[in-house]
Amino acid sequence: MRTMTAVALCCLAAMSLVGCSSQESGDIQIVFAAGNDPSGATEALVDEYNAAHPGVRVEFQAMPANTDTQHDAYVTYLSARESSIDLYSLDVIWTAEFARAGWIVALPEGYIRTDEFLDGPLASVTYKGTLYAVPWFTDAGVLYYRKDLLEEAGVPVPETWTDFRRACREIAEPRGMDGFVWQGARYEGLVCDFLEFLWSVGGTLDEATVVERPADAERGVTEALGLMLSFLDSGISPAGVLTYKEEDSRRLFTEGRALFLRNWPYVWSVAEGEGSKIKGLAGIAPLPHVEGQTSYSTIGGWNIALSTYSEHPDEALDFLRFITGERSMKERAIEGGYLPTLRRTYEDADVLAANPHFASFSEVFQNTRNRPRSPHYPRMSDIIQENVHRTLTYEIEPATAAADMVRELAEIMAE
Amino acid sequence: MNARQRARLAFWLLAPALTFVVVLGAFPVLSQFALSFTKFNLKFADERGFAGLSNFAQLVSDGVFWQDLGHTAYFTVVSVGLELVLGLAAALVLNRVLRGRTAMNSSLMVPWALPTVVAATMWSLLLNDRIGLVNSVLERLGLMGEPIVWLGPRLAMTSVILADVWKTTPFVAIILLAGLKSIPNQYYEAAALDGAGRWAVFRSITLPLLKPFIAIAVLFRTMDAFRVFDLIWVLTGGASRTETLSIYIYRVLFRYGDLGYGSTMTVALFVIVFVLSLGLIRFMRISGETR
Repeated sequence: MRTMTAVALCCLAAMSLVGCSSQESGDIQIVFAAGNDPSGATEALVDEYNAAHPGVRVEFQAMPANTDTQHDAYVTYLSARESSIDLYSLDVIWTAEFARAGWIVALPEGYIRTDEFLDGPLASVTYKGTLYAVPWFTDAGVLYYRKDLLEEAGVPVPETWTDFRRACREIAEPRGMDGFVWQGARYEGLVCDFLEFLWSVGGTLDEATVVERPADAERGVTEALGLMLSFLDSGISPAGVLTYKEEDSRRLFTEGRALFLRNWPYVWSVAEGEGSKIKGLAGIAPLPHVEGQTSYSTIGGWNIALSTYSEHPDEALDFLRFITGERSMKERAIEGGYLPTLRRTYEDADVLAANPHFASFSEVFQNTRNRPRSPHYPRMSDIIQENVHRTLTYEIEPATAAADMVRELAEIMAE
Repeated sequence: MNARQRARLAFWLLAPALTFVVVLGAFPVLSQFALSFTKFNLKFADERGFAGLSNFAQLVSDGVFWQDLGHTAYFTVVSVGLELVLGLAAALVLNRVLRGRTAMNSSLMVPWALPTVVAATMWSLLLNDRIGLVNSVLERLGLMGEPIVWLGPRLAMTSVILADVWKTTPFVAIILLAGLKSIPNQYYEAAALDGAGRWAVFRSITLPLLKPFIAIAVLFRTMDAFRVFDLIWVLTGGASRTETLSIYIYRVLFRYGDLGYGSTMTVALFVIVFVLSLGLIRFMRISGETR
């Protein structure tokens, strides 16, 4: 309860701040709310835009880094029809929710050149065939491995789960290391990990399958849960993985205590940075899959949308084009390591010089998929989290969890 | 000043406080009651309408609600019980301390003074199975084979309760210490003259005279524990059978934006806490004939 009060107070404070500053001059004020950018690249770009556009003043409003806090703050603003914020940066899983609520507007026809963007991020800004936001930067699950240990053992980077498990047994076990760490706590990250396991066994939770062929969906879920349980049962993954979020699992890997890690691209710079015990020893690969299947990475990242309640939509859209343009993306990639959503930036010499590892990511980005896109996503996410976590803690059987999950998801999709 | 004038003065003197109570207390509670009879989701605002008793019907058949009520009750009973016993012991010890009392009192207050979120984050690091301090100490003492997953399925609730006990025992101790200080010394002197033993003194003098303070501590702690949110949110996110009603309500209200059903549950929680407090007050007889 205290947290809720705190959130509410912060919202009030934020609103009053915005309200005050807009009175200052005769310029048109555009407020752009997004998660804080520690590199300062975003603010530099905003300053640059302001310098080139007299009569318009864009203000960057840094939001709390925590995704859920940001979500709840935006829901509070928008359901109160707050007009002081013009542009919102939205997590890829919020598009449908915000579009259905009528809080963000459809982009004008031809506003962006869709063929220039990566497929996964582009799909994430689409709701019922209409574009509601511009992809800003992206994220996708990748497998980190210990290059040195695999080479020493003469083992190639595993592509199938069978080879993967063997590598864990042969390399990690004798060393007393953990084989594979990932995100198993009950939170949004578990959904991302679970879906990757699900896709890697050939399963799917897309609407058509869940509604029309529930038995197929159930079979995939059961198999994916079995795969996850096999990591725990065999000791490849420590029991504590069920309490880990990104940073818990990352720490074990960069401490040199785990052979494989599933995580987001940000880990690369941590692994190569100060304080890492595995500097120069890590490699990146797509996640393994079951023989005969393909692996896919869950898409993360952020998009920018125009608020329905904006009083200056034209000016806001002009700035939106600038901040999601190629130059901005390059700048943010070079200064902050943010992964661009425009295809061609991955071939840009300056970007690659600053981020040599982007070249390895491009392979991973060939196969990405989105989490279910639905205005009911928060509920669907909780259903997945709950059923997966309860299975992994041996509360329920995989088959029971699969049946419950698919049935509950189908009920929501039918709404 | 005649009676009428006095009444008028009293009204105006009370008015500011009353306004606060109405605006900040009664109004939100009443609007919550009103919302609990509506179908209203922030994200589907166009489907808003009167729902009659359907939210309450949903509540009755909502397994998660009753399950979380169970978790909440268990958490409350065990943590408040432990806090009371430990807090009383700490207060009795502190009451005897003659030197360095200020230092002891203030060191005791540290956990209570920490913001809950900070304390919870600290505990989640301490309790990490691989790199947490708790396990590494146990390992060094040779008391542990396999690493203990403190926040895992088996121990999650216990760990959460221990963190809460660590954090709020000082609050109970301070209230009880104030109570101990208020007991006049002559009772003890008289008991000593009569040759009463320590246990008899404790049972017949200390405990009865401390009762109102115990009642206040238990009342405050029960109300707080029943609404616990932040500690569990940070430590487990409600996983492994640690989800409390507040966390569930938060999910429904803020994540799902379902103001209608969320308000219904809030009303239920309000009623439960209200009845519980009334029961406790009666049981402890804080009001009225205390002495």
